[in-house]
Amino acid sequence: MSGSLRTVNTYRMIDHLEGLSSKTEEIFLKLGKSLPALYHELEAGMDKANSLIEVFSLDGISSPNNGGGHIITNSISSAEELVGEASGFFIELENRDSKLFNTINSSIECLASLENQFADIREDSIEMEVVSLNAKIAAVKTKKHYAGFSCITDELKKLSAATVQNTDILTDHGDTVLKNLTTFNRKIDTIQNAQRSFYTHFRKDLGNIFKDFNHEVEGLVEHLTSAVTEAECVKRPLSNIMEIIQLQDLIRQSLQHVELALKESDIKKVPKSADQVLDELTFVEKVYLLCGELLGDIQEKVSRSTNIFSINITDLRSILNRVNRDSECVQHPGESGYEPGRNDGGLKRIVRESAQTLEELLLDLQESMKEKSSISSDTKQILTNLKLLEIGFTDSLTIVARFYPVNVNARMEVARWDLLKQTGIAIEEISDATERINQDMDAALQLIRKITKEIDTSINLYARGISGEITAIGNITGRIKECYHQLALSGETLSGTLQTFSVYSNKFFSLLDDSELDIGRLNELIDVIKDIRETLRASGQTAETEKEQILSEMGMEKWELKNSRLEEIVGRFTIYAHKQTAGNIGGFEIGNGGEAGELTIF
Amino acid sequence: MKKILIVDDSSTLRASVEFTLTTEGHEVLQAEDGQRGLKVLQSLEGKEHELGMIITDINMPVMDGISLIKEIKKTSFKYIPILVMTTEAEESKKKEGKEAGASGWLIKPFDPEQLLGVVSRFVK
Repeated sequence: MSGSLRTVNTYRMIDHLEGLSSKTEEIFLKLGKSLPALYHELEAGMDKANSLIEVFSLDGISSPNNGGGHIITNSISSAEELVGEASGFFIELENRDSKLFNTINSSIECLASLENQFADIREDSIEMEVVSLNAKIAAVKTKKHYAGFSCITDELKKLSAATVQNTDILTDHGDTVLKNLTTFNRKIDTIQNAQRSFYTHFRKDLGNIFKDFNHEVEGLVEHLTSAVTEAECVKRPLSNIMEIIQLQDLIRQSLQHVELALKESDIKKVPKSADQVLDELTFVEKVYLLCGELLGDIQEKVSRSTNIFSINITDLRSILNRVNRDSECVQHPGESGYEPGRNDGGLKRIVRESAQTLEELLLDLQESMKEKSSISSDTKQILTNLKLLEIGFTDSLTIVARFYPVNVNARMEVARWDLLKQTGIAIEEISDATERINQDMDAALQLIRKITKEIDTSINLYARGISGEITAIGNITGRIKECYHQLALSGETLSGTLQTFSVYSNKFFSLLDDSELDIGRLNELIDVIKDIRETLRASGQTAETEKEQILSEMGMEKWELKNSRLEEIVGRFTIYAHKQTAGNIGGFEIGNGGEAGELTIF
Repeated sequence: MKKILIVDDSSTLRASVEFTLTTEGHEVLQAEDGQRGLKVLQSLEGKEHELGMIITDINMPVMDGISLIKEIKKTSFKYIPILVMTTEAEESKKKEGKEAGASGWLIKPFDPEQLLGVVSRFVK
């Protein structure tokens, strides 16, 4: 009789049920703890990204939240302002350089005429030599006055020769200064050309850098917006998973109910009478039936959870793939998925190339400034040579000044001696030559003084300007670097935010991989539940067959459960639906109750 | 946002409710039975205004939900709304909860939107 009552190993089954409870709790809890934690990280990333989108959006409206402006717009405005200011600066520079260039050119022309002047003096001096020689020859004819007059003509000859020699030296000095000035002007011309070329490149290249940046940042913002939109979609499948996770509480309680019922079904006292056996068999049959029903409910809940997990994990994976695609578009431009027209993009490349362009521009500028600084030493040389020319000229004047007294002496000597007069000495020619030499020397001196003054003024002005230029160029360079630095930083921030998304996504992916394995374990649990149900069904059937046999032997058709143990078990159930199921199986009333999800406000 | 205390022996249920509430910006405190729930409340003494609501299960080890509600009603937190969230659905149980001082009764499992609706009703 009691064989069927011992077919179910209650404690072994309870072990299975407890295992089921802890396994479902472990799996559900893992999802319940990890997914929200990652979601909150992703959400923080989305907040950061949304702030960045607002700040970087070129079409957005300024608000106090983004510091009253948009970084890119501000940077571009700063760059445009800088180009404007630099334009003014370079135009001023060009004007000043042109002015110096013209002054030097005019001085070069003056120096050329100075050389003519020197040539005239030289010719006059040679003529003086000839005239004085002729006078000497004429004086020789008089014999009587030759000795006195020849002293005069010798002096004239000596002075003329010294003047010729001096003009040769002065001409050499003049040539040196002329060469200095020509070289100097050539350098100015080269610098001006370099400045013009720099300025043209400066406007074009700087404009292009900011245009490229702008374009790339627009692309980044687009991808960031897309990533945020996609990331926001994560909430729905996540909520679905989190909603279903609460079922584990019901699964746990349901398993406790089954465990409770099985423990109660375990025979504590061996029945003695046939009535007792029949009552026990009926009780066991109903308990197994109830446990089977409850396990069916558990199986349905586990199965529903598994399905919902699977569907939503697939959704999550697909959303995260889209988020990652947006991130990867920015991290690895030119690879699949990156939009047409942007395949040559890539912030890193632009940053690298822009840095190189700027470096080259600034290097050109520095070279130009170095060249300018170096010509200030040239100006010193020019001024020194001009001074030497002036000094040499002053020395010549001392010699030339002596022509006058010698000329006066000659005239006096001729006036004194009729014989000398009769020889036809060309005293007037000597006077004329003296006058011409003096006049030419005077004109040359005026010219030298004019050139020296003009060059001195212009060069000093230019040299003073160079130090101002160095400061201004330093300022422009600093501002260019600042604008560039600001943009490069902005790009890095955007790019970094997208990378963060990718990091979160990767964490999610790894969790989803684990979750899929857990879903596999849940499916295995369903098989365990099915096995237990089958065992209980078979045992219940054995009990029923045995009960039918006893009833037949006793000539009875059915047996009504006499003991109240089933009602006592149900009294300890915590799920109303299970109580109703038990009531239906045991044939007893359960008080009124509500449905799942029903809310009552007191 | 005010804090919300969840008292439930099911860690998965707490995780689920926590997710629902925190995504809406609420700060959530947790306890796994009535006695621990009371300890959390003790730690908030003097800052009662920071707590917006208490959500409790009924069947819990150590101290059940009904006993917890009765204990809360003896403290400075007696005016804080208490929502019972349980699988128990019998009218007799609800009556017991109401008499103990619960403000509402929600039968598990529930729709998260429904929970948020109740929370917004109680937490001002």
